[in-house]
Amino acid sequence: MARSYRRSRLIVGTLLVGSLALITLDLRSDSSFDGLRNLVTSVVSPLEGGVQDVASPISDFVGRVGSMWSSDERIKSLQTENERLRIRLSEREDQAGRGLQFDSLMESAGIAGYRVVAAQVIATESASRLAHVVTIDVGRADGVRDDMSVMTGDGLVGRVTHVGKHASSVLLLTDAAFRVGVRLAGSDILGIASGRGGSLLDLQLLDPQATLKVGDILVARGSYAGRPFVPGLPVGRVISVVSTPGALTKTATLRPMVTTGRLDIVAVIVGAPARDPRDALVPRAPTPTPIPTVTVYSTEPAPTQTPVPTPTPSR
Amino acid sequence: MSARRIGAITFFIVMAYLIQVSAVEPIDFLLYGPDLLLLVLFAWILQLPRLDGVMVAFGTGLLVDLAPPVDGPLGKWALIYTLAALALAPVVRNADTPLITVGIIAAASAGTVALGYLVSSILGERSWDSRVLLATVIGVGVWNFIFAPAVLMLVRRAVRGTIAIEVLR
Repeated sequence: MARSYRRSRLIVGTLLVGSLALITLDLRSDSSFDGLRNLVTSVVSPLEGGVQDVASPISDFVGRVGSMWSSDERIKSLQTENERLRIRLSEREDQAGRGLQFDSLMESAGIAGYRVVAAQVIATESASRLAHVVTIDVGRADGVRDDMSVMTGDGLVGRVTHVGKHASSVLLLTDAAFRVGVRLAGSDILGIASGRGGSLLDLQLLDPQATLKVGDILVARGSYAGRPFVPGLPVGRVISVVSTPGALTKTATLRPMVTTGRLDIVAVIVGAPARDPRDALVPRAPTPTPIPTVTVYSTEPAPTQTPVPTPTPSR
Repeated sequence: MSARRIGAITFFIVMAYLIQVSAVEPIDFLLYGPDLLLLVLFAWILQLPRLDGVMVAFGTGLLVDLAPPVDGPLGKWALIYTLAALALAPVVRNADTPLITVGIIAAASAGTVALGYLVSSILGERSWDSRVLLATVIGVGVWNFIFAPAVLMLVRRAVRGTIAIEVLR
């Protein structure tokens, strides 16, 4: 019994020390375990894609069932039939929606001059692991490399952190470890946007005197040779500004331009533009359509003069 | 541990991981949602001897470290899950009613999330908004409490199945 207890402690100790050793080796060297990770990625990512293809109709159905409970359940049979038909219609709309996402993405890439590889999100890191990371179904074989920007038609999604042969991991901009240099659209005011682990971003402007207001849009400033970030990608919109007198920086909260909760079609930017697109991708505020007006002048008619009879001289 | 049981555990863990990252995560649950992998892992740990449970936890963590989406250094989740299994070992003896068992699984899941945050902070990886962390811990705990009975039933059937095969042999 003492021997088995010692053996058990030895094994547990070995596992703990082994874990710490793996962490140390991986952190000290950038590519210690890339071969092993690539091997596992090449095996697991097709399985993730397959499970996602099979399960996505079920996931969509479960999501819609949640909204069914709020409707009136008195006419049960008609409601059930109605919902069944609506789900079938939604599935078709989903497919059309994917097409629209793709069109929007290609349009944005074309406007900015990015060379892109389209991809689909096939796996999302579990929320319990406190990381906003997704897997996409393109990898080294498609021209993807580490530290490339990932976008949708609305803006920046994140950057590639690990590349396998046919799949890659993307760190989303809402992750607490994400940082990107940004520029206030329409100006050259610079700052740093960082994720906070939720759905919003923190912004620090490097110029405490800069004018910043709610609704302003921040775009990626860009990195050397476009890696990890290409210039011009919309990052977020200001929703609140914090102004502390005497502070060295001005801080604000941003809402990301991209909703990271339900990513589907994305694109990896494999080629930076020849010229900075500046604010070409910043959505324009809708301008009111001018209503044509006609000015009508009304004039009083000239009063008609009644002839004044002249007196006739009498003889 | 017999080869059949190892095979059953591997199948459960791998399927739980694949279903979690590909099917469960895209669903927009209120307050984050269940973690199927933690559910299956702790359901198995409660059925196994202490040392076997710790080794299963280590292997599961290694799978999470290696499989995409890749996040963090290799060995991080192996360490976290091993520590969680060690912390669970003294509590396993108290799992004598179904409600307590389900409660232990839910508490272990929530605790693992918090432990993950602690280890990530020590490694200098991320600093999370405390409200987000709290919401995640509570959300995972609650959802895992709800789904634990179903998962526990499946795992117990698998355990009985592997025992039956071993007895017949």
